[in-house]
Amino acid sequence: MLKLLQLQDPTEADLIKGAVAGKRDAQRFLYQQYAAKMLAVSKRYARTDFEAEDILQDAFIKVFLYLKNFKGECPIEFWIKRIVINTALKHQHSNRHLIVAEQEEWDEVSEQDCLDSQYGYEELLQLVRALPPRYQAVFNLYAIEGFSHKEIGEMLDITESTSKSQYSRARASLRLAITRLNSQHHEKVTG
Amino acid sequence: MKKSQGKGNQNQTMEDIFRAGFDGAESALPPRIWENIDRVLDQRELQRYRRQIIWYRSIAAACLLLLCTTGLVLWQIQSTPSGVNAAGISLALQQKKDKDQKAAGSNVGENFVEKEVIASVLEPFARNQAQTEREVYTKATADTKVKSQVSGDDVLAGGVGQKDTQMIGAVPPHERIEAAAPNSQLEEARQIPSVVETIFPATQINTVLAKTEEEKGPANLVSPALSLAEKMSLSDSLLKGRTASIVVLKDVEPGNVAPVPMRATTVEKEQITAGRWSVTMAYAPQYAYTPVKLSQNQSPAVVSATMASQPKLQEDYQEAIDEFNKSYTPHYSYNTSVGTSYKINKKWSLESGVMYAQSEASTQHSLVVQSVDFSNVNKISPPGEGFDFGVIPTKAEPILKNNALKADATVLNVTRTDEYTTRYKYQQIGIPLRVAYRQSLKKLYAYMSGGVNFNLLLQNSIIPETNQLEAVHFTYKDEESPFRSWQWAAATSIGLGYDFTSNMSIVVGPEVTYSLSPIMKDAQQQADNYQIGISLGAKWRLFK
Repeated sequence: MLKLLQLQDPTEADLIKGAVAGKRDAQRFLYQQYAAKMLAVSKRYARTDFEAEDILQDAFIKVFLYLKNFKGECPIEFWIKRIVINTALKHQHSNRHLIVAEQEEWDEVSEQDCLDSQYGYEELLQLVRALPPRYQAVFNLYAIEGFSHKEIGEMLDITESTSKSQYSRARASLRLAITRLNSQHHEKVTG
Repeated sequence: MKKSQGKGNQNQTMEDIFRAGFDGAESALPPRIWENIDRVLDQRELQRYRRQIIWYRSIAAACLLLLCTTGLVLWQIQSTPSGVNAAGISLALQQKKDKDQKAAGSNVGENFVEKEVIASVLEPFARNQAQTEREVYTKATADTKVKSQVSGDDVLAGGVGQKDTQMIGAVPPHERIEAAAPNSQLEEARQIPSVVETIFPATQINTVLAKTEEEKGPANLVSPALSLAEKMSLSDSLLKGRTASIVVLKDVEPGNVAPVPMRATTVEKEQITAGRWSVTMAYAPQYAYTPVKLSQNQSPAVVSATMASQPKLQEDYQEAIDEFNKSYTPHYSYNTSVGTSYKINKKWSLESGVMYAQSEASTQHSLVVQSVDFSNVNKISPPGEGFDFGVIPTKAEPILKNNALKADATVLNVTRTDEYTTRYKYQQIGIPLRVAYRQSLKKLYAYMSGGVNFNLLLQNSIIPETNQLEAVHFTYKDEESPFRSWQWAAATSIGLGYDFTSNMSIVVGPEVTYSLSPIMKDAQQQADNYQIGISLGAKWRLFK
């Protein structure tokens, strides 16, 4: 058996070293450590849970194939997350012809309107998934991951202004959806 | 990266709500994901293992070939006169001694002959003489005659008649023992000298002498009678199987020796000419760098015209070309050849023959380039929306085809997909023509060769590992093929050789081949391509 299993508490460096060497149990350790978080990430970019699982699978295969290129300049979690996001974007791009863009009229909501509701993960996930694919990606990248519009433009092969406008529409759509949810919630409580 | 826009739990911005909701979120993992990953990683490992196996097998095959060749050569060396098996002689002598003991009281003359025979047989071994056919001369004097005919038991000493007159005793020991046994053969052997004498008068025989060093003197000269007969073009009619006979020529008067080379001029010339020819075999595992570099700026007119209104499509297409150009990875390749070599002189020779070469490579892609029926595109696809409709099932070569040939009525559709590998396989046969130079250092020699290969591309295969594209196979007959059928290449090699025997040698050294003509029909699309390999070869001289 592997030396790795004999170690009480293998360090991250040990796991990486073992995974680079192709040791399957080291790879499994790494997978078990980060896969649950990464599945949550991929779900935000996918339309369905099945697609999210596909993305996760492809992403981790890439992780193990290219782990030898990991220089340790950032925490490995960030590195894996970046691979998951890139894989998700590729999936989205390759499936774009299967998705018919929904043209909705967005209600313009004032930027000054603040929201005071707390929602669970699943509810928020459903809201994000309800967005058109491009908007979904832009919103995730800008609002959740924290990329700039310039970076998003490079990642999605769109211009910076396109990223901004798509984000604006995504934001408006979500604000509208949250407002609706708030009112539904208020009706349940009062009525 | 952008800074957080959070403002607190109450009156949060929308970003804060989502960021807080997704922060640290985890999802339950279905076990099938890891199972799938495990399976895919296993497959990848298996593929890598298979690629390694091909290398190992090739190396093993080369080693096996080398071992077999070495074994063959060693066997030949042991069979040559210099490696005479003394044990065989000892055995024969022992058997003879046993018989002699039984036949006690035999006459002195026979004993005398026996001693002479043994002495005469052993003497060449002791002196390690290697007399070639060309060196055989016969000597005779008027009163010289075949004084003693050795046969039967006397032959046991190893003097079995041999067609190859290089050395008495060159026949393996078991053959010598066998030769001594059958009486019928011995009888035949007894008859031969008389037959020779019958056909050739004594005077004629006497003029044909064995070349014996003057200082050695004519005494104890052992001359295989059958070889003599063979020299006189009588071998076919006179020789039968391993018929054995040793003729001991004695009492030659030095004054009457008149050495005359037997048909030396004609025979030698024929043999020398024949000895210039060799059979050659070579095998060279290679690193074959044969990429088809597609130009970024070159697109067919029709494609360009369509792309003018499709900047995104053009960008994707350029990206696909870029992927194609950058991801080229050569795989296990080799060439093997069989041919002949003609020795012009001691240093220079000409080589030619037949060569088979196979090179493999792969590229990685995340874009699929597809052909679209141009006539239907404008009807179906709305302007500016790309070619999401009207895509026809297509083959794997649209990048090559659209760059190398006229686009005719096709344009492109480029779609992003999961990463996939495309494999390329080139199979060629060719005629190499080379000039070789060698500088001998005893048995070891340095060699250098250079020349051209004239190759025919038998088949080219493009096999994408995705179900979105079909594999394509081009043969040399296909006019549609973007590849040239006939190609020229310059080849050079430098290395070391070793002469195991005068007939056989092996050579090892690096070999470089550089294509003089491009693989693609459109010369602009072809980058320099070359092959670097280690050539293992062997050469056999056809005649001595």
